[in-house]
Amino acid sequence: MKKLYALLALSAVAQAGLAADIIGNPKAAPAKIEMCIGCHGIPGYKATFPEVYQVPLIGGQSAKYLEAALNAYKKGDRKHPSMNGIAASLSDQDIADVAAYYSQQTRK
Amino acid sequence: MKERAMKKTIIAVVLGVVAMHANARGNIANGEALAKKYACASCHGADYNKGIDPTYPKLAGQHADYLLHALQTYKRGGTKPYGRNNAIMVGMVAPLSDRDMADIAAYLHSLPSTLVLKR
Repeated sequence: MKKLYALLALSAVAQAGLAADIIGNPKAAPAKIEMCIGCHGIPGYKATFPEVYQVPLIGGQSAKYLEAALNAYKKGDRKHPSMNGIAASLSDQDIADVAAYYSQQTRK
Repeated sequence: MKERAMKKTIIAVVLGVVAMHANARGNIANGEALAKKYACASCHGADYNKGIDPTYPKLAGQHADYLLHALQTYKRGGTKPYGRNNAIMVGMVAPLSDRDMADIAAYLHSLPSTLVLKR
């Protein structure tokens, strides 16, 4: 009986681990980045309000930062109409995949 | 004599344009001093290419105008349009003037970067 409890406890821990960690798959990203490349894929592309600025470079950025930023747009901690709309349309898995894809880009 | 005066004028004009350019884009040297003063590297990493936590962005080589915009969003804070709510950054930008933020942005942009623009 003790062994059974131990086994149950272990499997619960393992499941919690699985549920908490969504692993980004860069290979799943190409179908999900269409909304990104219209701005972030164009050299010199600028947003114009309230400041005029080039949209950020996201290639080679930390995956966990990209996830945090997208989640902040999704939650509304960052207020930016276009990014709020785009982030809201992404699932947690989509966000992880897109973040993994851009973080793996290098200068070569 | 005339030629010499002309040369001096040209040099003065060139220097003036360079200075204005630096002014419009932020002063890198002052930005470096401010980044040291406010210890930006203590979170964003010594070379600004790797934060001490993976959820912190790489800043080296990022577009200066975007960095300035980002700093301004923290200054606006989490309740205003085009603002950002962030427990750490909202506090960090509080003492910074617009000039300070432009200088810091110029400095960070000038650093060797691993960021890329690809599809």
